[in-house]
Amino acid sequence: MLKIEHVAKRYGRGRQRKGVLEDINLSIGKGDLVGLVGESGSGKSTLARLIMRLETMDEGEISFSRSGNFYDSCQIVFQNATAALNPTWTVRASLLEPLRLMKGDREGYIKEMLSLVSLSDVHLDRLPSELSGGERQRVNLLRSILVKPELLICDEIVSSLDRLIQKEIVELLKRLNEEMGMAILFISHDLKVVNYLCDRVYVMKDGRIVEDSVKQDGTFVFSHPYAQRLFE
Amino acid sequence: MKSNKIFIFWCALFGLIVLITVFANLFSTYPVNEMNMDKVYMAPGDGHILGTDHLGRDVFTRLLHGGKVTLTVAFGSVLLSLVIGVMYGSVSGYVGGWVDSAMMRLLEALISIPSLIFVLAFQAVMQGGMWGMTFIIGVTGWFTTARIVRSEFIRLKEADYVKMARMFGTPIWRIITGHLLRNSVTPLFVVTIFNLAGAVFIEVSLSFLGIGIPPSIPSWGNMLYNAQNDLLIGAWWIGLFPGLLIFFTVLSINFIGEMLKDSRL
Ligand SMILES: Nc1ncnc2c1ncn2[C@@H]1O[C@H](COP(=O)(O)OP(=O)(O)O)[C@@H](O)[C@H]1O
Ligand SMILES: [Mg+2]
Repeated sequence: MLKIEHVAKRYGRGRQRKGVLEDINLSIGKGDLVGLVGESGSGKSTLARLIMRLETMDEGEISFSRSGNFYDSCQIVFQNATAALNPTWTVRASLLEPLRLMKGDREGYIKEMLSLVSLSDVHLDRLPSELSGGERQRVNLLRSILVKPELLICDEIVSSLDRLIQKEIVELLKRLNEEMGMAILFISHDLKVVNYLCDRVYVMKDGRIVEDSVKQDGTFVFSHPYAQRLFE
Repeated sequence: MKSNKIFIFWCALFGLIVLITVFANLFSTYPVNEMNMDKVYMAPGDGHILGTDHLGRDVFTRLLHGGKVTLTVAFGSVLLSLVIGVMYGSVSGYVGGWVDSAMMRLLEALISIPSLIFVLAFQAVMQGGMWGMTFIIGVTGWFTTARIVRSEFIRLKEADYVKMARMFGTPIWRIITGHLLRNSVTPLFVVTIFNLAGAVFIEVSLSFLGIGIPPSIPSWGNMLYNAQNDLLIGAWWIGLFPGLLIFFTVLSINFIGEMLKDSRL
């Protein structure tokens, strides 16, 4: 469904020009649960922005095999839920935003979907500042899945949350994958979570993908020393 | 909290001034332009609490009506500069690139020309009355507003929620009003408050110099203008009371602006 071939990305000009991504190859099929791990600064978010067409790449190609509006079939959830929600909009207004063109009972649809992320009607009239960190991230996540995308990119969405809420959100992603067949690219530096959630994983280091591995008997096996150390 | 009480005090004072001038007709004790040649230069006291002027007109009454004119000009011009400033700043900040550079260059050029030159030029062409004055102050007062809107837009358009909005296909006008302007309200409000104080001050100064509102319309600036001669013969009340009102009006608006700036930004 998504195919990334030989992608490179550089920032800056002239002498300060610096490669952030180099020769990235990655593919995601329908309904896949794919992890992307690497230390902070290795270029994960940059790759996510490229996939989402928020920036242009310098080399290579990214193809997405769905016709129609790209953002109806591919969505992203940003790491920082506070920054991803307009602080002056209520939860209701934020959730209605992606449904602008939807026909029928939008409010009813939102109410129905709220329970999916264990939120309720009472949250609809609140501002982001009146929600807990976990609730905010669930609203953020819900907004991105309202359009029922076929691929969802999650950029460190549980990293700043405590374990209990992390677990809840990861379970939700698993369910979305099973029930709706939503493919997920789960970007994280938390290997425990990736190990639990994903079936396949790419390991990134300094802008390159050093290894990818498919889960066998519940674990990933690596040959590259960096990946081995990471998953120790 | 102490500063909260001070804030309420200044708001109340300004509110009171606005209220008595808006309802000038209710509070005034004489018709605005009623002259009484038997009672010229009466000191404050019986019948005329703030005295009378050189034509025997009641100073208190003229103060209220003059305030109505001055404040109308101030509010009207501030509204006008808000509209112009928001539109100019929005385009410059949202579009960015060379459009932004060109627009900012132009803005700098406009700022560098003393606004007195604009005013004189306009006055020469238009022979403005009250609304002419409002127009002039409005079209020369939007520069700071435009700058603030632009810098807020440049900051906010990189926000994650704006990126999300673009991906959701939210129309541009909705992004501008709902996301960008909506989150610039506080600084915009503060700069508008300061503009208001500035507008009062400009009307007063221009009328005082005799190039503002025509002398036939009472305004605080005109009253001060007329009071210049009266002061020489010892009629201090004709200049003092408008002076005090102007002083407290500008002061209260400035204090309100300062406190909003400190507390919410
Ligand atoms: N807009 C940008 N301009 C310049 N450098 C950038 C920009 N965005 C990211 N970088 C650099 O790219 C590298 C990778 O960043 P990022 O993709 O955020 O990594 P990760 O998400 O894995 O932590 C970092 O060194 C960062 O400084
Ligand atoms: Mg990142």
